[in-house]
Amino acid sequence: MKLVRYLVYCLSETGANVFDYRGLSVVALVTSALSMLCVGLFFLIYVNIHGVVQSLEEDITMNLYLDENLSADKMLELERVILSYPEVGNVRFISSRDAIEAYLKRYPTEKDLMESFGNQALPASFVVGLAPTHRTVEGVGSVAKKIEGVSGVSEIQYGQEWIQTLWWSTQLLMLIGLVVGVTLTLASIAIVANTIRLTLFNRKHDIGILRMLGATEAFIRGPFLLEGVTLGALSGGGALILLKIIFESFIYRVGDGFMQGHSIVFLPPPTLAGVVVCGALLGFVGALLSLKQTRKVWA
Amino acid sequence: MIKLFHVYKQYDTKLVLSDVTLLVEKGDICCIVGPNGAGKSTLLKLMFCQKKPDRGQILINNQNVTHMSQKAISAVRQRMGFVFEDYRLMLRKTVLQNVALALTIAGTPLKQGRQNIDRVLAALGLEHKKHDIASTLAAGEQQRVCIARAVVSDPLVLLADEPTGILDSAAAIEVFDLLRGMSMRGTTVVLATQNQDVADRFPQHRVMLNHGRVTEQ
Repeated sequence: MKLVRYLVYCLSETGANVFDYRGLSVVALVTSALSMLCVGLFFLIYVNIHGVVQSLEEDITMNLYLDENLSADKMLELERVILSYPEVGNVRFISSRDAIEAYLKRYPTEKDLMESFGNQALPASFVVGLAPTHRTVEGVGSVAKKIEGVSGVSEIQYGQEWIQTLWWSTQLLMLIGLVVGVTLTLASIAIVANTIRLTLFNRKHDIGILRMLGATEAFIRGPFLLEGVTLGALSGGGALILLKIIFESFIYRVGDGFMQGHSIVFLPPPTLAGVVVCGALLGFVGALLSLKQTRKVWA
Repeated sequence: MIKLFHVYKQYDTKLVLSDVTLLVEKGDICCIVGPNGAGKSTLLKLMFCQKKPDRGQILINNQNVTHMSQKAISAVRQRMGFVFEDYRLMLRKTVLQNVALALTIAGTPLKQGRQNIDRVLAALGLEHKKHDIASTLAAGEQQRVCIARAVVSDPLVLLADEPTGILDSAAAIEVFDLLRGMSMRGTTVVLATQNQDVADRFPQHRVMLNHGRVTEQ
């Protein structure tokens, strides 16, 4: 009952603080929301590119071109060895003839060229599919390293360059996102902290009265912490609304097919809730910081 | 019960209280009388743990409050009431909110709290001002709200610094009756005044203070 009464007090004080200093609260809310919007935008881009990378990783296969005169027994032996690696999910044999047929199906005008090379124009190969748990850039690289020294394999191809480029791009994007995210998160904390600090200074007289009436520090801090949490959570919510508007207008103008068949997705519901919770946490930290600083001044 | 033993207080080089020893029994009304600058307010502030003595000991309800932590001071203050000379009201809030604040801090149950508020506001003639914003009240009304806030939680100790300073005689009598009623219910009351007429109303325990020294007790 005592706690309920205190919570009611905190809520009414928070409401009064936000209302009395509404101009200040709105400025804090808008600037915080814009900071969080920037973080959200980066996160949204990262989520989508990460999604594309993941779906490409699903399709990662590796072509192992075999030595020209490898016997059938040796091929079976090689297949067994490759299948024994935990990173490998399946192995498909493509004979020289099948390879030529597939090539000609794709490039029918080059039939004469193929015939001039004879039956061995393209070497036989194994197409190695990775186990689901290893369908990553690192996974394919590790399998390639293992197979490199195996006899009977003349060449390994898995699109090293573009896979590496894509991997580095996502890492770079993540790094930039992290730097921007941390910077803007700190900015959001500072904005909320300053707002609470200004409210605290404006409420200095009232806080003095509360102390005289025997209020504990926790009692005094409650409404200000709640104000920080409220501002943070509202900023998070506001940032999400802005992000959704930007997202929808982007889809409307550009269409969602521009990423080579990969649909652009908005942030999933748990992430949306996470943004609001993070906003509330940032507000809490900001309020806590300003309370600690002002306590030093007033103690 | 309040006990002070050989209390000294100095502001910079000025000695404000010198060797003050005082005993106020439970339910007693002690009136500290003295001219401006005699050290009355400082004495009350020491009892209220708002300031610390340079020397000496202070006991409130057998609890030594001389060197208490802030947290412990909060707990002591929750069982005390203080009528400030400058009222110290939350001016944006209503009379009811100001008075109820003391109960919220003390954690008084809501039902009991409501009864106390109604009783105290009626005793001080403030029922009709219940929902008025404190800043819109006249100075005398603000002083009565300050008194209401100090007494609403039935404190064990009530300290009042010039509680009737600007009240008219009728309102002052209401306040004196209220203080007497509280004293009869067991509250230890200490009031500081420079007004001899006020002091004459509480002849049982009068303490004369001059230049920081108790000259008559």
